[in-house]
Amino acid sequence: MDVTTIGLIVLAVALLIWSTLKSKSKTKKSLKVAGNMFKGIAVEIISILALIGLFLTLVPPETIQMLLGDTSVGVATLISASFGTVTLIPAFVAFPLAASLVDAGAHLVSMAAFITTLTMVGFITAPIEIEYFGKKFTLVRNVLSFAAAILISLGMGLIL
Amino acid sequence: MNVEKVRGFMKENKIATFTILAYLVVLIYSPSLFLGGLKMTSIYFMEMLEILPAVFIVMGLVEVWVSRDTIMGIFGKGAGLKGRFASVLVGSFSAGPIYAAFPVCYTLLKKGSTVSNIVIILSAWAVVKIPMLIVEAQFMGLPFMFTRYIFTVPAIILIGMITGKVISKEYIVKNSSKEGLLVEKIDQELPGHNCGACGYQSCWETAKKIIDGEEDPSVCVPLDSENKDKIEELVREKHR
Repeated sequence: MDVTTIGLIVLAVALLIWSTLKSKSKTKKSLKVAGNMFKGIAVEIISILALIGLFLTLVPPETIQMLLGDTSVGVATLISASFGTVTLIPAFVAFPLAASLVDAGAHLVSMAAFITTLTMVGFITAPIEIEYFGKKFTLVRNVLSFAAAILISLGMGLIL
Repeated sequence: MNVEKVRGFMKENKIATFTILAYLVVLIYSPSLFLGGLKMTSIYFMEMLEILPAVFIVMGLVEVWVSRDTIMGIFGKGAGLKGRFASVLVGSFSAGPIYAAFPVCYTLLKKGSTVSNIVIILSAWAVVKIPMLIVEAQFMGLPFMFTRYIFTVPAIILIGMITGKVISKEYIVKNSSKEGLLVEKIDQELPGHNCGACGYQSCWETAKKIIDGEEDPSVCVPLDSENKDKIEELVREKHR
């Protein structure tokens, strides 16, 4: 568990205690709201996590490493950005992976694109996003984020 | 098993159905890949269990305790540049992947945040949260992390502003299957006398409370059992 996760849990417990001291009925209400929110997306989240797990087993990082092998920076950036778009990997897996790809010869520019799309653009989480915010919102946000990821990595390429 | 029931489940849970089918195909093709997928999934599942309950508890408390005016003051139209920085800040101090941010942002939106600030929170949550930056510096080096941060923060503010221009809040309220239309449907099933016996001024308000899970349909005194069943069905629909 990283520091913020622990911080978040501590915060949740502290707020819950504060809330209970102030008003028991309001606390009950908020727990009910929390429970409903959770029930609302639990099945979807679990399904999507299972899909990501399957995808990463079928297309392991080694395959990506091979794909990025000896392509030009431009192509490699597009491949990494696309791979990042499809999947969703927690940071503690993504960064070691990116670092090993750099060691294996991948360009820093394409890794920036990879990390940005990996976390910000989500093909696989789109169904959840659509459910909350609608199709157009999801499309606009993801397309803009993809474009931004490419621009950010190009900008970084100029500096690094 | 009842065929109708299975069909109903498939219709309500399209993603789950797809996932189950995908796993079945892989199982037939290669049992070891199937097990590998399950193992990978369990890692993600544990991560979810660590974070989501806390996120939802905090959001439940925000929903009940924090007034609309407060949220509007911080993330609303009048907040301007301060609102944008507050959004980057909230996203930076978050934990968990982006799917945990959706319900949080949805709650904030309902409480008066602007669309552009929601997008900024979502993006900051995804790419510049502090635990991520720490890991990033470890593996990619400080210069990499720092340069990415410098480029990314203006970019996400821009993405937020553009999305806010293109997408109206009304659009989201209308198209979100989380609420919006469901409130209207429930409102239609309520008697519509606005009698106030439930403690709310209008049936519309009661419908919203029922959808939020803060009230039970039985709070409505003149409601007959047929309409009550329909409302309960709608509430279940929300949770799908």
